[in-house]
Amino acid sequence: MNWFLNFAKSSIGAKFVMAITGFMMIGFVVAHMAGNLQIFAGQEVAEHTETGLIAAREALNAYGFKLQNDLKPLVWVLRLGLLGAFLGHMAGAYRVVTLNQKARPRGYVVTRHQASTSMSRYMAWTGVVILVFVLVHLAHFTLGVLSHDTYALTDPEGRHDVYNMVVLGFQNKAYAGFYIFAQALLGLHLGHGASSWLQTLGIFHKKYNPLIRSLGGVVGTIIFLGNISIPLAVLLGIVKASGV
Amino acid sequence: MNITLHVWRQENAAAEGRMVQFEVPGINPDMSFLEMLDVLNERLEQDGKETIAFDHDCREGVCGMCSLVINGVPHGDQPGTTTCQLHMRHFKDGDSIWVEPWRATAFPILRDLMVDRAAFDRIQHAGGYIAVNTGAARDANEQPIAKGLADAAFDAAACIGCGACVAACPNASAMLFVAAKVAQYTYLPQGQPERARRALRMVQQHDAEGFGACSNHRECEAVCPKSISTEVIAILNREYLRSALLTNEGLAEAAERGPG
Ligand code: HEM
Ligand code: SF4
Ligand code: FES
Repeated sequence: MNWFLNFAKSSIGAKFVMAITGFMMIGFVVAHMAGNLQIFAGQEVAEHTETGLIAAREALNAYGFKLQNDLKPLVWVLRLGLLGAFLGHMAGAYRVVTLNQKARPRGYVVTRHQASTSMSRYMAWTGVVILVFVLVHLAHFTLGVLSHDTYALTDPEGRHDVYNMVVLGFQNKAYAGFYIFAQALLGLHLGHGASSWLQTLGIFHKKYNPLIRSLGGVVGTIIFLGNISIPLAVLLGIVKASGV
Repeated sequence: MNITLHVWRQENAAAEGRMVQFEVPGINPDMSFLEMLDVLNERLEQDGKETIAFDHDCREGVCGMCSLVINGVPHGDQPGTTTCQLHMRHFKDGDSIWVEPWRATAFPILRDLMVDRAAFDRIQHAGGYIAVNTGAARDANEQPIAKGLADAAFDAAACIGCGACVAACPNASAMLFVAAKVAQYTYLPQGQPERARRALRMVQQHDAEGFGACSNHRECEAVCPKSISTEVIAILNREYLRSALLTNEGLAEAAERGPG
């Protein structure tokens, strides 16, 4: 393992770890978002039928139930992998940021950037906000520490009522606002990160560079818009509590 | 033309430095930036004052000695030029110009605008070489190289070791320099015997010197006077991964020792 630690501590090795773990987390974020967007699945029915408000929560609660029961072993494997990726990414970030700060403790009187972006220069700051967000989010919706009442809700089938927990959670403007803010910073983090990780892995090709470099904007925007659509829809009253 | 200069003055490596303002009237727009500094230094000398120390040698863009961060951009904001090739006509009469030394832990300031770039030499010594038998020089075309490979190697070999990439990088990383030196050999058959460990050794030395890591900001390629592309950094990353993760030590040593 010694050779691996030496590798991971080196300037390129630490970035290699960050690129691999960053990519793993992008995979998670996309899948997580796709699952959550099922909150919109029953909305049309909700508008038109009398039992609609029950139907609106069906898709999300069934999905949540499946993850918590049938797919439990798989979910735990993914969770451990994700935890590993998260810790690895943070360790890499710590290493890279300390190396970089030591490399230039005193800056210039005048600096004029030619190519870098605010996104690329503030990766550590956006990263720290993402970390805080993840902790709040886990306490809020995964562990229910910040939402005892709504966390305990069950639907008529006796399942954990994910739908109403989320809707009631986002009716709190402070939470919804913080989620939207954090997703904006995640979008900016990926605005650089998703364009950058392939170069770190040594993938550079004139044929594919336009695609590789556009990944940041595309992935960052999709994740930002997809994720904020949920708190936004609740705030705007498009998605309403169902059956409570 | 008349300009106002703000120049970093620092007695020696240990001294505290500061920006000092100089009025420099009567500058010919066809002078290079270094010639403008020569004029200022002559006037300072006539007044019995300390001249400003700055690095220079060839004054034709090939040696890599001249440096200077000019208004926040290494070698000034003209693309693909060194400071010795930067002309005063790119400035306006009455301009204020800020002139600072390269800033990096690995490039300690010696005096005023001069920094010590010996760290680059040590990185080169760690792996930026090939083994060639002594004796009569071998025929230049003994080993044919495809034109495309020769061109790619030559583009990387255009690096003059000036350190502008480090100066511009928000992380003071020397990746573009190291990458250019690794890439030039990676393309050529002459570079193969040491290839398995070259990137590892050079990156270890790079890190030991105290340069930062690459965040893919791409400031370096924007200021490189030889317009070296960050493509070489991708090549370095590949070579390093191969070197650090896949190298068979026994085979690598055998390759470096060669036959006999
Ligand atoms: C714990 C929270 C996080 C912190 C502290 C953090 C920090 C950082 C930092 C400092 C960098 C820039 C490294 C450099 O190039 O100098 C970075 C890059 C990156 N991050 Fe994060 N990050 C966090 C969470 C995330 C998440 C959740 C994702 C994905 C969804 C992610 C994806 C990426 C990617 C793809 C890169 C680019 C890697 C590369 O340039 O090769 N990060 N992160
Ligand atoms: S890569 Fe370009 S900027 Fe860096 S040392 Fe070589 S010539 Fe100078
Ligand atoms: S003095 Fe030689 S490159 Fe400028």
